[in-house]
Amino acid sequence: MKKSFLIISIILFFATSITYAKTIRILMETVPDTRYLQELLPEFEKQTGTKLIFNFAGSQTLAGEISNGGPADIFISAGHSPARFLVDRGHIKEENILELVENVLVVATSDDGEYVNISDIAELANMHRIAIADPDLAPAGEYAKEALHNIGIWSEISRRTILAADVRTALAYVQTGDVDAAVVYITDVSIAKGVSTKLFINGMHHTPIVYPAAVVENAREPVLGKEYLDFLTTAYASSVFEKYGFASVKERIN
Amino acid sequence: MLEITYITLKVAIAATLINFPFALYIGWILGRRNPKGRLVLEVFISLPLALPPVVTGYALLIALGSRSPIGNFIQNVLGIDIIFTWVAASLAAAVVSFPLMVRSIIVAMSAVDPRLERSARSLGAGPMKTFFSITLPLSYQGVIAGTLLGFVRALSEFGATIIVAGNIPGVTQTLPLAIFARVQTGRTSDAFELVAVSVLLAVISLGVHNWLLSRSGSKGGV
Repeated sequence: MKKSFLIISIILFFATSITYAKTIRILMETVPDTRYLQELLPEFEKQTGTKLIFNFAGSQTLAGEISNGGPADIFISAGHSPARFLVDRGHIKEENILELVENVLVVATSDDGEYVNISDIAELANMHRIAIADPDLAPAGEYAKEALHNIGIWSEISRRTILAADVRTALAYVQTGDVDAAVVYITDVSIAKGVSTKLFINGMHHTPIVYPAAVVENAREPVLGKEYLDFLTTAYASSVFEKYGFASVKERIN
Repeated sequence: MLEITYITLKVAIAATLINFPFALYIGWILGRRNPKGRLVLEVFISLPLALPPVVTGYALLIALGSRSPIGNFIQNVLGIDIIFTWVAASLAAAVVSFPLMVRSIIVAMSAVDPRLERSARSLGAGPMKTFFSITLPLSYQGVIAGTLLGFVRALSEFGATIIVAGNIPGVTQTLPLAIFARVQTGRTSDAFELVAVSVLLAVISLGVHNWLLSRSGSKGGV
């Protein structure tokens, strides 16, 4: 009697609650803050009765999962290169790629530090230390390095630039006062209390930070997947994206 | 590659040296004494084993960062930079490897026959003398084995290190960080070389560890 109770408990523990008719699996290139996607979740689930499962990892890991037959319906990438990586390996089709939104780079500093009022990007050169995400580990770092290089101050500050594991850690360094500023995506600044955006970096200094998305070849739910991507381009979705600081791609084209 | 191996060894050895006296002391308290609040102390020292190293890393960053009283003191009074240096890397490795070291030492010390210690005390030896002439000599194989286990863990520390020390080539980039960076950028053949070095270091340390354990086992000591 006791034994059967235990076995049933174990089965219940591992059985996922199957209350949705269908699920879509979305693989997304790691970005620290995805509250905009979380905010859009309930609306889509309500409209279609579909459950969404997100899997966040680096592009190499995700490509490995897809090519090894792991379940995946949609790939959302932060920046072009991960999407290109998957196109080259035949996991997504170039013509299916849709550019969802565009992110913006900013200079974030502490609200009670020495650099509360920074008005010129050149001031980075006076700082003791600056943090960006490691360009080898996160696309955010790639764009930050590119922008600082094109602005013409990279050679001056590169020795004092700390390459953080990711954007979240770069912002944590600003919080603890171990760096004076971080160059990060505007959409991530709000995860760090006491740190805020002080300066926008003009998009002309770097490759556009678009978020390409596509239905994966061999998806289990290609039709639902397409439906989700269409949903992400509706006016409702755009309004949520804009609330978090994204510029919509349409805006850029006009 | 030599430089990365050198930094890794420097960080892991420093971490082990920092830990050793504390591990010996706490191992003795928990192995030989039965202090009040034993459970609390045991849980507290084992926390880094249970927590994701990233959490330990953020906790250390907050504790040692420029805005904390400790970090401020070390930076402005002692004039030492901790965050983003190899010192931070070894502190991270020390915290994460401490539980493994201390747990083996507890086991080794609790196996020492208490009657021998009582005899030493009754013959006039003080607590320090008893410890160094009875307890430690009788448990040294377990103590060294635990120290090596902690050392091996320090060699492979990643999560806490990348946060407090950063991933700075030539300064704080240890083998695990270098392997991660290479795999992430698709330089897998470069990574394999470093993996080979890691495996070699682990095999040597674990080999010595197991040899010590089997020796102490055959003598019936531990």
